Amino acid sequence: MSGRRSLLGGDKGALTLRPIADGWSLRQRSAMGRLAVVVLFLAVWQVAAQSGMVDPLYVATPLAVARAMVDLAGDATTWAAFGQTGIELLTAFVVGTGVGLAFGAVLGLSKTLRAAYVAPLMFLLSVPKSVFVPVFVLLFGIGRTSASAFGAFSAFFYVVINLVGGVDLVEDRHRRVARAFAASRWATVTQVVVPASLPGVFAALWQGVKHAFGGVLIAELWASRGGIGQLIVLYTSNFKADHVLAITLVVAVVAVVAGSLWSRLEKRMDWRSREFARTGAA
Amino acid sequence: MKVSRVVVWLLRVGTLAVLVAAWVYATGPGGVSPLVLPYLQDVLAEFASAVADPATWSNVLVTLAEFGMALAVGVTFGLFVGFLGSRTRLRSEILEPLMSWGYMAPLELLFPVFTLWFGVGIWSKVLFAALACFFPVVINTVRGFQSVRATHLNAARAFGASSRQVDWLVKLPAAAPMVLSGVRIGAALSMINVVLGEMLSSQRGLGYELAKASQTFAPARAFAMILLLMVVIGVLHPILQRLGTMRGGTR
Repeated sequence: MSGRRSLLGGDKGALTLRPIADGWSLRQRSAMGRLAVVVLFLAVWQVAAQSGMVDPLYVATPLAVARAMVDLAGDATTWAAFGQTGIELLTAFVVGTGVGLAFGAVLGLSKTLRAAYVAPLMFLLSVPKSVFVPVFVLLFGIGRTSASAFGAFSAFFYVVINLVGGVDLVEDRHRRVARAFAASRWATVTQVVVPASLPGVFAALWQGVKHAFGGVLIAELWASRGGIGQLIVLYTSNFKADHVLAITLVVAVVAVVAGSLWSRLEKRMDWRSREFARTGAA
Repeated sequence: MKVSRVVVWLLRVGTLAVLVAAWVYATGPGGVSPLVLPYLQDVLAEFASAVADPATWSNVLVTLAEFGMALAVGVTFGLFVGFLGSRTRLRSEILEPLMSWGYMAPLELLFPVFTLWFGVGIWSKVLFAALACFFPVVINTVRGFQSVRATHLNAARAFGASSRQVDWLVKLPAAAPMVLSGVRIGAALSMINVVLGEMLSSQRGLGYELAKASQTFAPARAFAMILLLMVVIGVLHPILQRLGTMRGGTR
């Protein structure tokens, strides 16, 4: 008996020693580690710029970026630019996602249409969308309309492909059950297809926001009157790298916080096929 | 119920025909100015003369070279950081969120400062695209190496494998499909960002030719350049997507 117990992990004393050895949980230690990495990165950057290893005029320093942030916050132009980009993003998202969801639903429900159009759409998805910006500027002129339209265009493809992918998640045996119970087409769609493809809808919405935003920013960087992209171009041409980095940092923090909240929400929905939301077209 | 290929192609060709007809109508009876929407025949003529012009092909080479270098730099650093980051559970927990933040951030805003730092030559494009490529490669490398099954590791150790043998013979093959899928995402992002960089500020490359044509009000040439870019990517993309899928399969 005693031999058997030692095989299972020894006496109780040895077992209780292990958890006490590290007081912090993995979660806490990784958060501290992340903070250390960020602080170290900023410190190296600051020292490198101050010691003249890199030119502080072009590279800026973390402290200069922080000062630029304060400077920008007190400037009405900044707020106007963020406001304009926000409105353009909202328009682009509503139009791009709306049209994309309608299109995706039609493709999702018809095998023939899906077979015909998904491959060409996948091809267009692989082409860098930025090559089409000049077309939008030609059609809509420089300004809000072309930025919103291009954002909607960029979002459209990702929304369609993710939604079609979501409809593909519907299992055939569930459809067969619906048929066996003589469910009408409407009932099958509302009670079987829609609930099962919700992960795809969620992925489509997120990809819609993400790519609408990217599209709006690219259009603004290309040619615009106002907006975050134009602000960046302006500060770059005045060699104010600190201001550019400050704006980028703020926008990035907003994007990352929004993205993290969204994926947390997605996880709480506890779907079978979480895999999909993560791997849905990049 | 199998969908007939004839129907599929009829639908595709039909849609293309409708789009072409709409284009021809808009520029003809529709009265849309050729400065906004060029005549279709002008675009095709520009495309033909661009294809016949050796200068075009040197621009294609510049774009492809920038893409190749960006991919090489991004993947090399990504694999290095990802591999080191996957060595312990703590490191991967530290690294993964940082890398997903980088992946979620709107990197396009950084391109203008890259031209400030690295000039308007090829290096600003190469390094900018490499940065975009870096994040998904790290994320997938860490996930790939972390997802190696404990039973496989135990079996290898039970047979007395050294830690180097475990790395090369057990972990690497198990992680490869996931790592390669990261490389494929990285390759797509490299291409997107090289073209974007060329369009925003550069002196050579296909993106530059497109930007020049549209800024000098030569819409027919701009459309021809878009067509050419689509052809180049249409050839390149399937090759990249096949990368490694023959052996490992995707995940």
